[in-house]
Amino acid sequence: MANSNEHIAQDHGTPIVVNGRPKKWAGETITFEQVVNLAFPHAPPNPNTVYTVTYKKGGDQGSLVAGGSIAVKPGTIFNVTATDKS
Amino acid sequence: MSPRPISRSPDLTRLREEGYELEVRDAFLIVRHVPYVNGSKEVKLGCLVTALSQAGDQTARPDTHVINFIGEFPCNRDGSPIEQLRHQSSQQTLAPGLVVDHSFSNKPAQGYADYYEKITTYVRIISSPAEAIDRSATARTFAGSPDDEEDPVFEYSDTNSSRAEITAISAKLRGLSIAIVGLGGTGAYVLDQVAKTPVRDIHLFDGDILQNHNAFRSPGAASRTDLQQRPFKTDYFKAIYSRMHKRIQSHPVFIDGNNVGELSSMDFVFVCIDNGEPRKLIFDRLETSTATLIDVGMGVFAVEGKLHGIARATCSTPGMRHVASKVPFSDGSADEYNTNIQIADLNTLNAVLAVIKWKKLCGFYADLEGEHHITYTLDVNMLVGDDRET
Repeated sequence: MANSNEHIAQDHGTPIVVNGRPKKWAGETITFEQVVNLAFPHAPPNPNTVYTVTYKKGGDQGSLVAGGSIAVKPGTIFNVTATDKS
Repeated sequence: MSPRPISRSPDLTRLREEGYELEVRDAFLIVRHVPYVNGSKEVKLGCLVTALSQAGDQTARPDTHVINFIGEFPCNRDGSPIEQLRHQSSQQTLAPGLVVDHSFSNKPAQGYADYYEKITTYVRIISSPAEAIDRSATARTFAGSPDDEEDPVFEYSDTNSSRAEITAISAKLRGLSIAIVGLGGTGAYVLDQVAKTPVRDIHLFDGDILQNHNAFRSPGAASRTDLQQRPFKTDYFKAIYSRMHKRIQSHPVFIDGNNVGELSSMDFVFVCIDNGEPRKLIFDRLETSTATLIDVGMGVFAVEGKLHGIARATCSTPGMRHVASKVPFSDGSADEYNTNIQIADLNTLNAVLAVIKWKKLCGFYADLEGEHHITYTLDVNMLVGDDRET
């Protein structure tokens, strides 16, 4: 359901992509939890869910874990999902 | 001769690696599918038969240059007999069930050094006219041996390994007991790979029936009849892959508190399920065992008409159990964020990431970083390895 709430996180800052959608982030760094909240801006779906979070910006790439954070660069692409389907 | 005659004799091993169809029966070597031309200029198939001289359980130097043949007398391209072979043409019974039509004599000055030289020399003489008429005619079929006593695991020889000379590397996978928990999507593709390896046992666990949607994320192509029979997934896949691997066992049940202990005696457990509860049960119970767990899972979601997602393989070994924190144990309950999109190519990719990691742990593939957590992110084509051994 598309509404303006999906982009409320911040309306100024470094442009990034989270789960295929453009977002902006004002801080210099971003944490795992903050990325998850950007991906799921409505109430967190399930506080017990373990998410897999990956990021890529050119040669700078990897994954984030709970409690971790990275420096935010323009154009960094994040993916956030529970990887539990087989 | 001992039960493993071919692999103990370098000349016979070389013949097999070059694709000849060998059988060692009693003290005879039989080479099948030898093309030749008969008197009517037709290309036919015959068999060469030679007695094997032995030293213990290995071949020794051939003690005669004479060889036997089952078929018509081999001719040149024009239908005239290859006189240089002429020796005796009367039926002989060499052993029960082994009746030959001719014996040939082609003697090199020093005799034949080994059976590789003896067989390839006679095949060259006999088959060259056939190859001149039909370019596809060859004795080197790589078809494997019909009743190969060598192989306790495969229905027919793994000549893929032998012809590439990686039999010793493939042997690192021998003797392992493997469990695959969940055959609904990724697990079936794991089986597709593991069944082609010489592991000792493959145990399949899944209480579900094979349904239409499973067919669209399974290897091969289920027929309508297959689906109408509503087989258990484990039975369906065992039937298919038993064509190659003799030791697949079907357990058409879900893993629960009563049977999870069966997994602790496995060497490797591929966890390919959707539900958090049995996943947690398996990880908790096997944490103190010697089993290695390889857990797979994907998350796929649609954004503006295109799919994004991540496929993950996480490996928990006796030496590194903490990676279990990256494995999702929550119940996959329905909410708007919980899609169950799985696509066959992603199931395959996910399975292959797990299988390659398994083979690295066995020393089959080189593993310089020792990653225990692997993710592939679709929209940026990114493969990441984490939790590396230092």
